[in-house]
Amino acid sequence: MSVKWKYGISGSLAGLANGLFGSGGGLFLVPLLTGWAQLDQRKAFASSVGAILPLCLVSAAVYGWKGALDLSLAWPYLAGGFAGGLLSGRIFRKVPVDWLRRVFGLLILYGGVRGVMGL
Amino acid sequence: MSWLFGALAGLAAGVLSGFGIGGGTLLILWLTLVQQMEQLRAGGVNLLYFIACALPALWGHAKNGLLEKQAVLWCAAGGVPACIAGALLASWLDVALLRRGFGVFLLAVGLREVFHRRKPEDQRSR
Repeated sequence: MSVKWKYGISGSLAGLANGLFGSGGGLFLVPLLTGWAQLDQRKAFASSVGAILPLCLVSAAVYGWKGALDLSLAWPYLAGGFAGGLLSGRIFRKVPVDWLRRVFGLLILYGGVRGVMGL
Repeated sequence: MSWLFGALAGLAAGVLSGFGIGGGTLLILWLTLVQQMEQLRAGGVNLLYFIACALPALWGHAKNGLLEKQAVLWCAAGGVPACIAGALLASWLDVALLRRGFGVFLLAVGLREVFHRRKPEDQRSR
């Protein structure tokens, strides 16, 4: 299979998560890009952000159309997110991504247990 | 004051999102568990948040030469129709069911992230 197809299929799984949950596309995309499409890990992290940006725009449009967007709730997160994004682009090369992923995984597991049990 | 906590949560999530680690997923947990927001609305906030966060992060990644153009292009091409389908499904599903589905997704992702094997970084460049 050509690498373009691998990218396209990985992207469509990410898109499904992005539309359905409003997040999580990168959680599919990064492992598929590194493990399946054989992309270098740091490039995969960075490129996944680039691929998911247009997906967010499209999903947000559908959410808005369905009346599920609330800008008055969202703006503090937009401001914080913008600053965080700016910071991350600068410090990315110096960060131990492996450890961050483990801490992240524990938090996610906690959320998963609460979500599945409906707490 | 709640806007301040929101902005700080956004900042912390934004650093992780910019790395492509899943800050948005953590932000949704913050919104649903701490702020008691329902799943679909939390997803909506997160979509807007990610747009604000991804633009400056990409600027940094591009300067560092980390964007693989073919990957960005083809992933987005495959992703757009899928995300339209996913978003329509989300707006149609019962919110409690959507939240449980998200929980299952989180369990799978969390297990994988905690137990992932370290890859020899930057030795697999193509």
